[in-house]
Amino acid sequence: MNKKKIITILSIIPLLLVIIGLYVNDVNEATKYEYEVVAIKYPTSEKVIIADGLSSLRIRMKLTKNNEPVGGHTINIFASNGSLPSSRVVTAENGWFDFYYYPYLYVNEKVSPLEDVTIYFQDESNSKVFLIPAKYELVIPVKKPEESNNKYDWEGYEIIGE
Amino acid sequence: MRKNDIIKQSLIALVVLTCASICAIPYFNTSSSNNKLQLVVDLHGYTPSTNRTPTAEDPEVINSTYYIAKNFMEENEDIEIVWARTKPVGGLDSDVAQWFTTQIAGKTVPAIAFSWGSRYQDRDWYLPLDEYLDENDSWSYGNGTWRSIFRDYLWNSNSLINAKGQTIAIPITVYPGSSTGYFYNKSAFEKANINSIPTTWQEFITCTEKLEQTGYVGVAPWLYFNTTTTFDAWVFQSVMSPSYSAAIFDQLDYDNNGHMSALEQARACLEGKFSPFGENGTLAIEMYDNLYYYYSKMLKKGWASIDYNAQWINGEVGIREEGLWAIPVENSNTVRDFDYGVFVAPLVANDSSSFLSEIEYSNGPYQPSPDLSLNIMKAAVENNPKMLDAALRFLKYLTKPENVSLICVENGGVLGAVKGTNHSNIIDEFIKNKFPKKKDCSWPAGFNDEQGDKLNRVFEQWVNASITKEQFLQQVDVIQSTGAKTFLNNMHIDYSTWDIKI
Repeated sequence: MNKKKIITILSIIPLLLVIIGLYVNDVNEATKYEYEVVAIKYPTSEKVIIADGLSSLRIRMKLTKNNEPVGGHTINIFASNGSLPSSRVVTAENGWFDFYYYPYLYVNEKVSPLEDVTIYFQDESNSKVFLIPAKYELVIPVKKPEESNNKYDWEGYEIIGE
Repeated sequence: MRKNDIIKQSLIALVVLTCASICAIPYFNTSSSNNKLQLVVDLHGYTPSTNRTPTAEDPEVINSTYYIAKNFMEENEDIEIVWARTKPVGGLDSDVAQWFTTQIAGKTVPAIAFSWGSRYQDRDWYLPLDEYLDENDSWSYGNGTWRSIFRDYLWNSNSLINAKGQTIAIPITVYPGSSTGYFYNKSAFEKANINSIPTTWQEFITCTEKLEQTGYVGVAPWLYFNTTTTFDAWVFQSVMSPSYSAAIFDQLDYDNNGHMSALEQARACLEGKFSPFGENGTLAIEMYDNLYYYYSKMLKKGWASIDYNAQWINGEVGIREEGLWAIPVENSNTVRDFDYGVFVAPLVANDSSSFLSEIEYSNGPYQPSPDLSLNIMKAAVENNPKMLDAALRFLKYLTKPENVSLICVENGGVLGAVKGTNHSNIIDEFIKNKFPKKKDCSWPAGFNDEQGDKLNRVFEQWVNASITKEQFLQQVDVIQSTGAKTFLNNMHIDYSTWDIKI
């Protein structure tokens, strides 16, 4: 092996070590963050999602790092079923972030099977070099709607201010 | 034979057998597919996504139509639904028309397709559906006719009924009152001392002027798809066309049935009702002047190349044109540090025009237009009764109220075209507002792609001062009448007895 090749290899190795070190640091950093459910406002006294397409849940979470609240981080949220009117939120100074979840509509077991909903959280702001978001999954059980699905037909609505 | 040779030959045989089996798989699949009728379906933006589970990178999934089709195929084992995924969803009219032309020529056109209802009616692509809608007991999932399950007002819509009065599209969803609106910066309104949202076009103009005086961009146009269309854009479609055509509605509604059909619009055009030189000339010129004012005075010079998105996020824009479908995206905008609101496009009223009346409002959406409506394409079902039967079976299945509800709730931003259907909570508050009652009529915009394109170009020339107002007005009449005549000829409609003036 000539001298030139040895020099090239020796210059690449530290670079690789730096990259690996930065990656490990970001992975390690992500593990320091924790999510906590502060409160969930359910539509009824039961702690379940009602799969009627309308009965929303208001969820308040808290993001901490080493037990200290983390403010100003952007959290990406998505759900296994149903919808979120806002899929990205920013944590407040006390680490709190609030969002609404709107359920899916249960029609029958074949078309829309009744399954627990998983809400996924990913912190877009905790990484320094590589995108290694601090993640969390919140699972909420689901219940069939009791009333008929045409309860909310828009042609029979009462109007604001009427 | 030695032991090693036996092992060697066995291994070779095994490899050959494995390869042969792998090669045969497609043929097994084909033969199984051949037993089923392949129904090609295009649901445009409602076509199921290829992924079933959302991810951070791809959070938007469309599952409702996937599960509806899956369930349908389980109940109808003779049919296999194949999704048309090559269509340029998001493309302009001309791109989509080109795609359909190619598919029809290649005999691969979907049997069920989305093409904005009656948009291409003069090309004779659509199968008339009245007999299937009105047959006794045609509703397979209950009593009565298939037509009776839909909201009644829809059957007067020009996007479902063609100029011959034939039903050529089946509605699935409708817009939540309107398809587009104006998103406004609440802090900009506060700083400009604007205390209420504008309810007429004149109030809208005043509003943008106040915003400009306070240092904001008064109004930013919609520039998605890089479209810089001037004439037949949202201000014309949502504000000018409904306002000014309503003022002459009595002249447009020849059969006095309360609706202007495509045929009546073409007739009124040829009889000079929309002409700047006809009996309604002053009104027509006022409408064109209003549109000219918007593009030449209210928008910034060079508006087509301005990045209004960045300016909106930075809080520099007072009002922006946007589709209501953008509400969830706007809610997820974490960079914007001001609150925003949405208002419906205000009509021109009697505060700025002597031709127009005070605007009437309805409680909740007033006869909103179809969003997703589906055609059965003639080329796919002609001389193929089995394909037609399959297409009708799937369309009926799709329009079951629970399936329409499922689609609406998943989409979030639409309402059901079928009676007794549900919608998402995302638009629940919005649809409880008051909406302007628009008469069922519109101002023509060239009647077909070619003339529509010409109209856009000559209007742009007027806005850019390449031609005079007089030259524009002269050309408008030529374009509108050429478009109307081409449309009527393509539809094989005899207009020889009409009182043609242009």
